[in-house]
Amino acid sequence: MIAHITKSPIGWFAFDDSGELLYYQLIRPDPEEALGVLTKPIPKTFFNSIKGYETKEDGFARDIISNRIREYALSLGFVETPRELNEFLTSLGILITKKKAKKFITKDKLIVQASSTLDDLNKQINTFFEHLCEWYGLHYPELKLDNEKYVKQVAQYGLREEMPGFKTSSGLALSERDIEIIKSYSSFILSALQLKKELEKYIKEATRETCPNITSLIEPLLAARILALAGSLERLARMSSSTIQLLGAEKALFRHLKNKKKVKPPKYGLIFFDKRIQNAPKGEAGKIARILASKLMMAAKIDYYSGRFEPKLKDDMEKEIGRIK
Amino acid sequence: MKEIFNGVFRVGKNIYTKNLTPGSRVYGEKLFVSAGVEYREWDPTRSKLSAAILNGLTTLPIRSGSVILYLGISAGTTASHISDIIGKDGLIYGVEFAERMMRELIPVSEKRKNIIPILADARKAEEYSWIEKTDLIYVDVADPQEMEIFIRNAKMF
Ligand SMILES: C[S@@+](CC[C@H](N)C(=O)[O-])C[C@H]1O[C@@H](n2cnc3c(N)ncnc32)[C@H](O)[C@@H]1O
Repeated sequence: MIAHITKSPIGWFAFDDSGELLYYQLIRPDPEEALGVLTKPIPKTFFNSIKGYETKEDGFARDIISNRIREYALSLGFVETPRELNEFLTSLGILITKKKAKKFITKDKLIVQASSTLDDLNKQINTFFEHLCEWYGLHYPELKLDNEKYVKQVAQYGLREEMPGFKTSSGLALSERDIEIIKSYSSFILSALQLKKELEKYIKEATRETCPNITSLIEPLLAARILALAGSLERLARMSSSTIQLLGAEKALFRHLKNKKKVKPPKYGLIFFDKRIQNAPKGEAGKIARILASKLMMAAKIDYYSGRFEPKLKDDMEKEIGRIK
Repeated sequence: MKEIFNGVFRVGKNIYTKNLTPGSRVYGEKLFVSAGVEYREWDPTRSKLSAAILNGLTTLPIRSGSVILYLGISAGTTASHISDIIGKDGLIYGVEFAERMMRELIPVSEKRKNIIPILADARKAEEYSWIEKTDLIYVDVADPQEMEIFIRNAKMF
């Protein structure tokens, strides 16, 4: 024999095959408590209280409760009157909706801020690096390494004579005092690089969570930059696909509008940074951009309005891109 | 004043519902007092249901105590009049996926206590599977898949 089990806003219920109530546990008419029942698994103790039956959580039981919740709420003493039940259910709906809405509004705004901070930081790190190269280049112009390694090396060794593999240099000799301040500057740049990595990690995770559909189509860091340019997920969700395609190309677009004869219209803005567009042969990039932008438009709407992940979007996009080639 | 349907009153060219929360408006509608009872004018340019009634709708299956599932409730313009009709013993489960609309609906719900705001996609009824079976489903989602959405929800609730 099977005991069909379900959660409900007023507690947990078990029915037999004929729909007779076998066992139940009511909660207090407190919306917070009800939210707990609906969001958490049914407690083990509830299953264990049902003896002599095989237990199964299923739609059969949920259907019964959905039909008879009013009846049970009154007859089992959860509330005294139907009005009380209505008020309780209303408070529960408000609580659930507010919780959902809260998650919604804050996260994309945090991503927008984090992403524009990252953009600035990247620019600053480049400037810092250029300064360091010029400065330290006076001492050791022959040192050629990629940016991050360069900074690390200077921060660690300081004087060129201390560096592994040093032979000769055409640069100036530096005193202890001269090199100390350069070392401090490199350490400062290193911590900026560290911050950059943390920011990137944070933005990737947050964007994947908040915009599962957009990030199924493009890199999360790029998604965050697009979000930042739009200002919020809500604004992005309201944009047409051509607006999305040209986000970040406003200057080029205005140049074109001012002088339509001489200046060609831009084909893409930020989405140009997508690998598929960058690696595409000349004639295809514009077409890919159009497909990508139209899918991004749908993805933004789904992420904003429902938040559910729709794997079909990505499949459709890949099919369409495949057809161009 | 003539009661043309349960809870719906007609005076001349206008229709009204009895204000469940006297003294407060929902969308800037006119209030009207008759024999000590406050009524809210039901603007046909703001609500399709009002327009349908004024155009001679023959039956209105909504009455005091009805439990209704409303898909695409938006900020609650039409729903507030249904809320007047069904009264405190009735209940509306209002599904809407636009978060901004929901933000406007919540204060209405807090005041009236017979409208349950549900921030969800009507295509994903699993998300609100906790609600009860309703007497009636009202659909106004303005979506090409409206019919499918309706059928799926009707099967579940
Ligand atoms: C025409 S408006 C409804 C107006 C409302 N019935 C009134 O008269 O006050 C349509 C609403 O349905 C919502 N909507 C559209 N598709 C939806 C879906 N799949 N799930 C939930 N709401 C949806 C829209 O956000 C919009 O607010």
